[in-house]
Amino acid sequence: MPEFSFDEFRLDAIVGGFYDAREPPIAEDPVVRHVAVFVDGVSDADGMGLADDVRLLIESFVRDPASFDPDTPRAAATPDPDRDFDIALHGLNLGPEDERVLCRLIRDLVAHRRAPQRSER
Amino acid sequence: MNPCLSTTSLGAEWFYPVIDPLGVAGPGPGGQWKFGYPFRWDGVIVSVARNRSLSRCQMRVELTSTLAETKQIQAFNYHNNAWSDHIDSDPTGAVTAMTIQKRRPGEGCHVGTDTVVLARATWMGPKGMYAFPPEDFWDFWGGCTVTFDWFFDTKTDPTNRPIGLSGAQTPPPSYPIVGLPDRTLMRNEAGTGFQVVFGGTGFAADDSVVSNGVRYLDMFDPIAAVPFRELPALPVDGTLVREWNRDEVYVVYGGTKFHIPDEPTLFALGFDRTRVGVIPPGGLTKLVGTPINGTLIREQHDAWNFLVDKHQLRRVRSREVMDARCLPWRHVRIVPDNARAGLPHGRDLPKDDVAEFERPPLDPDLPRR
Repeated sequence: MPEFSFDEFRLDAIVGGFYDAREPPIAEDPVVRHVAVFVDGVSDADGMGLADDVRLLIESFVRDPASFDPDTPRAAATPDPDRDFDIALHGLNLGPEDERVLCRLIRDLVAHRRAPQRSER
Repeated sequence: MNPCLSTTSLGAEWFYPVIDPLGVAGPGPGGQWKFGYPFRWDGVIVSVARNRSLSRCQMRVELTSTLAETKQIQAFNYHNNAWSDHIDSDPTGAVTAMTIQKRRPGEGCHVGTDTVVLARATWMGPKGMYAFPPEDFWDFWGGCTVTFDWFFDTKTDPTNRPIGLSGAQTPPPSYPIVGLPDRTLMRNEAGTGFQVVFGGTGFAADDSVVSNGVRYLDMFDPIAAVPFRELPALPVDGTLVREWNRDEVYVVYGGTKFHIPDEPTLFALGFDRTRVGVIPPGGLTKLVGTPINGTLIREQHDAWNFLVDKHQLRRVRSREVMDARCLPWRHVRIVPDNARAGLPHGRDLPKDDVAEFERPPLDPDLPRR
């Protein structure tokens, strides 16, 4: 097998690094799969850190769905159907009931984040 | 339109950092930046070049590879968790291409491309997935031709030994990225004199200027000079300079100098004296009079952003215009008050001027596999 090298290219930058078999692998949590969350179409004020917060919520939920109360909302959110999120959860391997609960938890989280801003308007 | 919130079946470990070209000195002699990506099992060179035929909401994606196994680039939509378009490599090395479009304000979550996924097209389906975070992907490479040269794979390696780190292990880039560090003394092309490097570019050192019996090059050891190599024509954004024996300090954005009138302004802009590079006498003449096209600036106490378009500053009238044109907020450079005064101004930038910015995709005859 040919050796890998960037030597023949004139590069402005190299992203990341090379695998070194002598170094021990970085330990990764075998249970929790890190989730990529994408939020689009929200204002800066609403969206600042929202994806990270949602990701943490999802990772916690996936780790132990039973620890979340399926019925009690996190926050008493004011219904705001005009500004609801379109939520699509892929790659989490959840059952329909768990997915329903998680969707509601996410909506509660988003409403909680938006509540102070709405009260200011 | 409702906002979109999606998770994806793409594992977070496969997302690799996107390099911001504005944090890299250049572009180099070819008018494009070249970045090496040692992916987990594959080697890819990514070339990024501004494409004036495209809006910032579009990107032309090209793929070339002479490897036997077919490679694939997918235009991926998070909400659909699927690709809407793709290109496959041609083992002869011929370029295959597609033009992708970012979702615009007002469009549904199922519309548009969020990111691209690089994959090996095996008989068992796509394998070896690499992707880029959508916000960085569009902010940094939107409006560009991005060419992926997939030059290496480990398909023939029976041990399946990785060559690079996973995306999760890959650290984010540290800016600015320059080929040679500041204060590097370099011989000039003819070998008759020297250049001194600041912000990734070389400033010719005129040794005829003597001040108080001292020459600029007296500060350097000629023995330590490195051989000449071609460097970008302009310093990287955010380079702070002052000519030797002069007090005026400038910050460089888009290759143009902006005068910083005093220390409080220097600090208010997030800088300090230690970052100011002392360039050779006359070094400022290397800079350009108007920032390069695409530069976004805003004066410290002004409400308006200005986009340099066709060598003129055009006011961006609202947040909606910024968003509709996919102009990245993080690329707005804050300059001292009155810094725009001497620059040419054009008419305000409208929200939509399709005829000016959005022409049909280039080279529609290129093969799409």
